[in-house]
Amino acid sequence: MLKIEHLTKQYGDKKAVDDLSLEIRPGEIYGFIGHNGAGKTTTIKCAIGILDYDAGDIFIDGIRLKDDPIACKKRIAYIPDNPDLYDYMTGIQFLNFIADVFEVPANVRQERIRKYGDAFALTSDLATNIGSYSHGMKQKLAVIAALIHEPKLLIMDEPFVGLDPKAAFTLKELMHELCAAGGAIFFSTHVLEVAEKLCDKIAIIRNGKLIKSGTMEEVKGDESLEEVFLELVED
Amino acid sequence: MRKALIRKQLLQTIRAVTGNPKTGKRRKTGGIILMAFLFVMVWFSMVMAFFGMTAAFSAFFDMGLGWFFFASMALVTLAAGVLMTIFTIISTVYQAKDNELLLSLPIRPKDILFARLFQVWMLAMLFMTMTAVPTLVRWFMRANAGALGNLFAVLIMLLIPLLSVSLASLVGWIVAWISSKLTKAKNFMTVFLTVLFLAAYYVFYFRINTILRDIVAQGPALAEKLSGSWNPLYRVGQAAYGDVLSFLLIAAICVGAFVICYALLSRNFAKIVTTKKSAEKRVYREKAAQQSSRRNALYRKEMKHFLGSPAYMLNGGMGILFMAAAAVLLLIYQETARSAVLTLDAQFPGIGIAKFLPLAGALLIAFMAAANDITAPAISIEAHTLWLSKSMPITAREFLEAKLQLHRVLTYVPTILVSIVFFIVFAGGGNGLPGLDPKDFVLMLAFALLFAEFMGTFGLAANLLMPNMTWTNETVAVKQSYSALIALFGGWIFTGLLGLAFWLLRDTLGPVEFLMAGIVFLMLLTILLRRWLYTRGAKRYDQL
Repeated sequence: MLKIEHLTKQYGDKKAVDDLSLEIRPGEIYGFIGHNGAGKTTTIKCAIGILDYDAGDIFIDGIRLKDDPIACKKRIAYIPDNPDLYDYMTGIQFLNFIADVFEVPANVRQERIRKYGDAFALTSDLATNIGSYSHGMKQKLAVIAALIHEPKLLIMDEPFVGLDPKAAFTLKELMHELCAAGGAIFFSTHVLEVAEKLCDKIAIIRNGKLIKSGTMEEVKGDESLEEVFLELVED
Repeated sequence: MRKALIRKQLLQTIRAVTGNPKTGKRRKTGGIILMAFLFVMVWFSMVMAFFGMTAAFSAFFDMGLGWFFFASMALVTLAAGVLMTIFTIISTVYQAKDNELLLSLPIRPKDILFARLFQVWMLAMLFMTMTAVPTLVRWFMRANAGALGNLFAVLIMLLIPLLSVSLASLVGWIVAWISSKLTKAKNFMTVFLTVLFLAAYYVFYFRINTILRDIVAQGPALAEKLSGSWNPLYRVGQAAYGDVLSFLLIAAICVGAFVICYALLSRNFAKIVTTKKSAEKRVYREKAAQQSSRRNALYRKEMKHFLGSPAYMLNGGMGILFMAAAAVLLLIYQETARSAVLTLDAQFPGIGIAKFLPLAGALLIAFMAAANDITAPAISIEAHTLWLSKSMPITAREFLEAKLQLHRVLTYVPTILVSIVFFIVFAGGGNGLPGLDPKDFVLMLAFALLFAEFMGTFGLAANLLMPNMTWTNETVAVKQSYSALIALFGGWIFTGLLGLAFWLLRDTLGPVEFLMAGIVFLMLLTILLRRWLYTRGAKRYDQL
């Protein structure tokens, strides 16, 4: 579903991502971990087509991102770590806007808004302006907006930050649901316990380079993910 | 503690002058010198303007009413001080970003307030030198008040900032209170009140000579009424002539007002600055959803952003207000407008002023259209939400086109309206003035609409070339972007150049022919700019 081949992204002289390759197959939840400034967000932004890259290739559902970015973006949903949304819209206006852009039919979107709005306990607040939402409410709305067009690939940057325990649980359930339906998820996190319990595969990045990747068992063996991560990043 | 807080406030003030608001880095020395030079120029021109006012009020010395001169100028100084510090009070005291941080530290709220008011008082002193210096110079030249009188005059001018800070704090508190109470149509109310304030300001500005004349004419009668009373205005004048009791009274009023203001505010400071403005909370009730095209969805998003931001509406759509006002005024004063054209016709016999009307109308409308800079900050104001547009399946062209569509919808209607009113007023002719030919009207309208289209494209191109993506307050993106300034002044300069081109080509091209040539020129320019926008401009958008 997502294939990253020899991705390199430079900021001036500094290589933020250096020859990174990854592949995420349908049905997989893929965790992406690394210290602050390791290159996680840069990789994610390149993968969703927000950031141009210097070398390598990215394929979404078999389509080369540089050849047809619009076709790729139709298959993706992205949730950033700190979602700045359109504060001048109400929650429902925002969801309808996203649904219009992704051409979700009226009856389908209505059903999904109801389903996800109730799941995240946000339905009653949908008529309120986003500007007066708390950080957590914005995060929930960004998640609902991401799911409204049922993407094939969900890419998230620190998705659990700001979510209350119930919403975090709901998100994990929905992540499993999406993968069971043939979708794939690629997300970054600093919460290693969450990654360990949730992910089928994991990739560890340090200073822009991929230092380890594979199934959870392959990466951590008998140790905990925390121990492996600390060993690898301190090497 | 107070010293540390005052030092922080002063550093903040110095930083505001020496720092670059975009990068946060220190300005280069040349930039600081330029800023200082500009400030001195503005200060000096204001001092000279107020010196002119003192010249008009000098008549009171001749009438033996020197005290009334000083009282009037003290009142002007107070009013100027309130007007000039009110916005500083709101931003420094009520809306300061570090209020919550400071309140979380072991500092008494009244110390925080004291440091903030001290900063405002220093600024008020600086602002009020613009009125106080010319007043005192004129006073020393004409009053013969003696050493004690002159000393009291200086001291009163130093005390007035305390009173103006107190009054400005009160007005600021009222504004904050009203703002917290407004929930419905808040943006429109803000725009309406601001336009009302600006209209009142300009009416006052254009009538200043009449107002001054009236004050001088009615001054003696007013002065007679106040004479001998305990009215503070009379006492201000008496203090400036050395009356100790009057001086003590005025000093007590200024210091007392500040002490009361400080005491009241310090009691409620924490509550005022931490109370969140009430947001309109509405419970969502499900309605049947409707699907729109991507194009419509993007356009509606742009419209919501425009209507959701008073700063964007006021700064981007000022030309719409100009055009609406021009249409109404032209309808009301149509006889005057026609007479003015006839007068010009009589002054320049043989030229046939009427044939210049379509071109003059087109250029006037273009001048107003140049103030419609809706697209000029349109990219900058998306700085924090650009990830949404860029991660969705929207092409750069669709994104940019939505912004142009908003510009069209908002500017075409007032352009057509003011053009039709222009036609209605001048179509009939009369009194020797030939009526405006409908064919010429069509040309004028086409020129005006094309100019509006050009301005939208020009503003968007300017913003793509010079976006401000690091702002922390949307108003900065709307008001202080280079692209917004370039679009506004560039549009006006371009209109001026079109007028100049006609003047230079007047022997070759008549006004109607020039209008036709102008239409072709604008069309070509807009097509070229549009091509750039959708090719190189789109690439720039992708790289943002």
